[in-house]
Amino acid sequence: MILAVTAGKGGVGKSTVALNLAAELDAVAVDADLSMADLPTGRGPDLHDVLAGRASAVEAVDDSGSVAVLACGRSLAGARAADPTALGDALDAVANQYGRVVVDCPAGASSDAGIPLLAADACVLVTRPTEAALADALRARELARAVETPLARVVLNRAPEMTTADIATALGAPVTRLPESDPLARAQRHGQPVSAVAPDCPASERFAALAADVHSALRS
Amino acid sequence: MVSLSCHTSSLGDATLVEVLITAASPTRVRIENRLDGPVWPPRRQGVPADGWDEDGFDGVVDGRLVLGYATPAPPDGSPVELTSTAPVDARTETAPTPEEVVRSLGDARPPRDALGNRTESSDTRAGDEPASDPDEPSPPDALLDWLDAIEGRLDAADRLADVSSVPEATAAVDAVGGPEDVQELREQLATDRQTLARVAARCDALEARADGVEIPAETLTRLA
Repeated sequence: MILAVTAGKGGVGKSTVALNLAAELDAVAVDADLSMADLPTGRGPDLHDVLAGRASAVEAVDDSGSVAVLACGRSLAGARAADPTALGDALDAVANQYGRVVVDCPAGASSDAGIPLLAADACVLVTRPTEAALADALRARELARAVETPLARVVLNRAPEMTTADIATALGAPVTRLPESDPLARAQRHGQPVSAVAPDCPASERFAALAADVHSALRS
Repeated sequence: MVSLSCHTSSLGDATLVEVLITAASPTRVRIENRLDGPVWPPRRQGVPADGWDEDGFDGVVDGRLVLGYATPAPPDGSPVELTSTAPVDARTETAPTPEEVVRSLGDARPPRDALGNRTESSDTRAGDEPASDPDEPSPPDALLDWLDAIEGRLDAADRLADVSSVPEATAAVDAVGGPEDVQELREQLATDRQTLARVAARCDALEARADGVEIPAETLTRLA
């Protein structure tokens, strides 16, 4: 099972949702943002190496931490040398070995956002309750439709108490609201899922519920 | 009924092939290059245009379809052959591919110019062969610079020793600077030889000591 976490706009918490969903789903988190990676890196081969044919996708997975991660290199030269069309095969290889994969997609509506969506069985769309983020979420939704990837869930990140029915209608999927959370922000700064740092905080419970919803949406 | 007509023209070392295919109803066709060379297909965003592969083109004709490609092979008889035709069945149409996504949404990789003066292989994270293994200890930069300088002087001395004619000798001496510089190079190399011998002796002595040394780390940790 390959789940893409997409957003349209950058800075809405896509990588945070990807890392925490991977932790809850016991999945490998793959950082597919080839030019501007976010997920923590280790010392071994990374996705740039995989997409340039220098390493296999499975050997590039670092499963020594609380979440297994296939990180992405930070250099522009590495991004230039990587073949984005090889991503689908790399994700399939990781899914065959580990079962579940959560892909942190790049922002935007270019091919680097489209290819992981194309490779995924379903996607989760992260947005914020702001005009700019919601407008970009609609574009990301269209991109997912164009590559025929179903939208399992919308995550409304850092959102106050509010009604989400309009957003669910506009984007065409149920909405999970994530409130502001200091433990979550702190955990992300240290490259950890919030469940590993503060398992009893509200954000941990929301991610557990989100993972259960996504899981049942994928099975139905 | 599918019909095919083609026309070739030469442009420099390449042959341009134009193909016109007509079909009365939507038909999936495959045409293959019959010239003795590879197909250079049209490209969109750096990847071959929709339907093209290394041997030819695969696509749907509804009415008229005009295609063109280039090849380094010279024109010779009929350049392409219609190898298969089949009525279009919506159920067999394939899902989008990563290549189609790149074609329609654009290549998202950073442009080559964004890399500055660095080549891709100069980046040890991206190059095929890193310059050195980052885990392997390397001598201090000052030592490496000193050895490189001596190596440069030895190269210059080799070039001076290899001359076999007057023009070569003149060029080799000019490359060093002049006759005074040749003399200076000779004296410097004599000094280098002595210094290298002293450093080598010290390296050997230190290596022998390092081989013999044993730190009772566990005992010390227990006592501390």
